[in-house]
Amino acid sequence: MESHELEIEIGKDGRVRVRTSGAKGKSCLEYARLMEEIVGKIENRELTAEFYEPDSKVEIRPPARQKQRRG
Amino acid sequence: MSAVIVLAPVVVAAWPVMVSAVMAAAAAAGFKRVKEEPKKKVRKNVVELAMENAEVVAESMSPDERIVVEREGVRVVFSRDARGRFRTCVEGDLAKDRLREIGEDLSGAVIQQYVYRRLSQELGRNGFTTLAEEKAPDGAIRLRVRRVQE
Repeated sequence: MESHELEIEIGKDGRVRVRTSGAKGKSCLEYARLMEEIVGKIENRELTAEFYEPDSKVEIRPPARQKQRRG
Repeated sequence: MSAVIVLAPVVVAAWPVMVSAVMAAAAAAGFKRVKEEPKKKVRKNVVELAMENAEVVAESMSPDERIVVEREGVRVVFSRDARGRFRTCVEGDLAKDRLREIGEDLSGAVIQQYVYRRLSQELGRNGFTTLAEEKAPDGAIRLRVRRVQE
């Protein structure tokens, strides 16, 4: 069992900065994808040492869909 | 640490969701909800702001898709325009620059509340529990969440 943590800062203008920890290898990208689906557009991403370790297992539930755009 | 990500919010929400974010942000900034004036009082200055990444979805043709808040003579009207964009109109006797600043601060706080609520809901659905939550002196909301992955 692994413990995965996210440190999230939501700025005054709604811009979000997230640090993931505990998720190794490409599994941290699953969290990046989840955050992208929840919040919006990724502006910047830095990968650190844990990214190059063997992958963790991560299961993600897709976010509830936002309302479809209409007229 | 395995990644650091910075994201710009994109809001696509139904009007009731935006109303609850507006009410939370306005209350935190000391604004109170007021009724529309039947006969509009003339104010010295008016500043209109449209948010590029915020769209309000039409769920019905309700005429009530406006919400008005006021603080110390500054009135802020949030609404959905014909193209679905979330608009902020700030009226008052202060200089236009000051009204714009007030409007941008309050609109930012609305988006912050929207993002906070959506993150809390979706991270909960994904099995995260909140370890810590605080409002920083600079106005940012900080969350630390964890989940155990088998």
